[in-house]
Amino acid sequence: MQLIDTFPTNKIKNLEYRVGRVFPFGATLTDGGVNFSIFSKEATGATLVLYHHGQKEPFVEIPFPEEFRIGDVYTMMVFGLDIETTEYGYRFDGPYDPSQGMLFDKTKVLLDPYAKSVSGRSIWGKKTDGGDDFVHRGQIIREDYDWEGDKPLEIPQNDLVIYEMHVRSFTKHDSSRVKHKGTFRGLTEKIPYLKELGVNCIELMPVFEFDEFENAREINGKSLYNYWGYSTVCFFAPKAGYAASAPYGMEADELKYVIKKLHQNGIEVLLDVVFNHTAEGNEKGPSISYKGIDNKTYYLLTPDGWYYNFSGCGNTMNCNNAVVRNHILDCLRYWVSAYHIDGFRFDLASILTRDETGAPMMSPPLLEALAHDAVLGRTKLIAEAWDAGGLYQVGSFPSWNRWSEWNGKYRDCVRRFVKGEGGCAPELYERISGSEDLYHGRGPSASINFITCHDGFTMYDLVSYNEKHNDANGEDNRDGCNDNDSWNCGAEGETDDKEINDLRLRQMKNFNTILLLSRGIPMLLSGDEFANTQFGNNNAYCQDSEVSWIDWDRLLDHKELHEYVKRLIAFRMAHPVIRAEYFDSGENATGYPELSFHGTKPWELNRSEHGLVFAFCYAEDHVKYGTKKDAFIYVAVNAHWEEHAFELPIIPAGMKWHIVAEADGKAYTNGHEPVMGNQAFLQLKARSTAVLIAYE
Amino acid sequence: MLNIKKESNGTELTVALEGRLDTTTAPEFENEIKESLSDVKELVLDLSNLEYISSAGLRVLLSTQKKMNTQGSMVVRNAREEVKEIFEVTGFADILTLE
Repeated sequence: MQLIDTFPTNKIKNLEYRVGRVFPFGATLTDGGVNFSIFSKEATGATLVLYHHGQKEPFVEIPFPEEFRIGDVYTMMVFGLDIETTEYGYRFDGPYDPSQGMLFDKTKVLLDPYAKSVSGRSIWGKKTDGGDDFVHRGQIIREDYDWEGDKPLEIPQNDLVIYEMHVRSFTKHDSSRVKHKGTFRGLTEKIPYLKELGVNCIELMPVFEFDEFENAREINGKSLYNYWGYSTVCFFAPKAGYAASAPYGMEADELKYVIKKLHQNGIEVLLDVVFNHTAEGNEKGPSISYKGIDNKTYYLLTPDGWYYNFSGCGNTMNCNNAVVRNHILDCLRYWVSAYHIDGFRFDLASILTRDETGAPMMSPPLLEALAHDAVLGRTKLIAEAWDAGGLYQVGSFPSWNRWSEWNGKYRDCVRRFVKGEGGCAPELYERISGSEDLYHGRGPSASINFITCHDGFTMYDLVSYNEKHNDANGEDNRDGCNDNDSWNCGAEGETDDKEINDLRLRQMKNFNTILLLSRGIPMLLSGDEFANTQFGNNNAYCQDSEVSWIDWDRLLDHKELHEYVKRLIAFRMAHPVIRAEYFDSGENATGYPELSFHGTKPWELNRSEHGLVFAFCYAEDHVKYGTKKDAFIYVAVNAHWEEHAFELPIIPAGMKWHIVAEADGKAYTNGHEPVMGNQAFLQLKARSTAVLIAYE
Repeated sequence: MLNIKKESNGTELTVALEGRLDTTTAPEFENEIKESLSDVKELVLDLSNLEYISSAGLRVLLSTQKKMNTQGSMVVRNAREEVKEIFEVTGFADILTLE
């Protein structure tokens, strides 16, 4: 039976149309038609522009009659469109007065902010014919994916081990040996690898449609791109150039397939989302979408109509405006319901706390709405709790006990300590304990612990370079962070010196040991587990090249490190006391404190003193944590340049110390840890760590 | 354009497709197949002459597969490389039985 509100009332050329439905915004399939709905507060009129795929000129333009507008929303239902060959855009009429923040220009065709697919960049790095007139156009997709019973996994947050990756970098290198290199599909071929490594969550750097040609340039004959994509063109559309099937218009299906397969293998998917700014830049930037639809609503503007730039990227989204807030909510709900996304990491999230004048708010309505949203009820929300305008909110990001944070203090502290700065020892004890000083009342899983991420050096580079080497980025090495807390171990870059290479390997093992034995959620950077290098480049945002592409051949050369990381992950997963939900450190049923710190002599450590040598010990109560038997986990850390002997704590009679991992040697699989010959002392080489376990 | 050839042998039905299966032709194929499935236990789709399949075409194959799951089996035969490639990158290859 045909619904009454799907009978055409108007006709233009051979195309029938009628007033549409306000919700949902965007272009949606209805009975025999497509429903278009779009917001603009300040416009005086709007026109729907329809194209045949790839054609320069539209085949029809349909102005919205006044009776098709409800409030600030223009709606229209159009019948008889072939959705597989149709592209669409809008023109908006209204005043052009930059001093008032109004940039209407009806000569420009604009992209629907709710477009579910965007044309024009369906093959990575290949320009379409539009030249400078290129317009991102919307495409209409089917949302009837066969999930085969899948849904978001809802792994308890404290059990996560996150693995951050760039979709293209992960498999683009020939050495990845996947069929569809650099694509979503290629990623599915690496799922067995991820599963074997033991991570249960991947975090994808931006996968919303962006334009790799934004600010593209050539340096010494090499093309530089907007490679990372922290500059969104459309928040509802997957990056088509990441999909092998985008030329067939099936990028959404392909991404959903990857997510379904990851879920089937117990791996969650987080998206890195960039709501702080858009690809439209400042006054000089292009008018792609928001600027021409409703500049004043979507962006933070000075009283004179200039763009505030708290993002460092030209503009700042007006996140706490009611319309923009709903836009962001709609977007995230869409990714959770349509794509089964498990969580989000918000880039420069502190911008989301700013009001319409740019001032930070105590209780930002957007963050509160996200924290309490129905659809996002069990979705992980992770903030990068700072912005480029000087806000730094690590430990104070408004959370409603829902948000967790990238713990930048953890990264800085561990890096400094491991390279030999004893002054950060007192802080390190807090960081290892889950950063209760920052997240008191919330729990360790509010802290996303990491040593490395896409920003900055890879772990191998962190132990191989004192200075950044970003010349290939074409900015005379000015770009990228100067404060890396890195140490090259005695030579800058590649070296044949065995002692230096051995030390580097040990330092990488030390970092992984501290990271995976700390309370709080560990996040690894993809490739670090086999010493991936960016050759000292600490800001590879523009490098679509061997600089960024993970070289899987290094996995063969660094098998020892890979095994080490893999076993430490397995060890973490086998011992819930490390992944505790609460900051429990007091005495438990084992009769020992659940988490204790020690010097080279047990129980003797002044936690306020500087130092480079210490140990920490978890007492795992088998009843509380549901394990088979009580266990003690002892982690010895020597960041000193001299060898040290650690006297081991006395443990209950019948228990014996076993070796789990020695940075100077190997790590063992769970249950196969060899018994230590000397049950009273552990000798640690200079700059080394070890993990022991005691059980009956 | 899409040509549909049907060959019935008891409870076995073979449908050969020639041309393009896209938004224009998918509804026609859907209707044809709906009418013919009632007593079919084994459905064979011969795609040796299918040049192109779009998102709409894939969905008709999938809904036909779902229907056949409840009453018998369905196999997709002789798909060309280009068509196979689409099955593979979108993951439809996991759901369909390709021979």
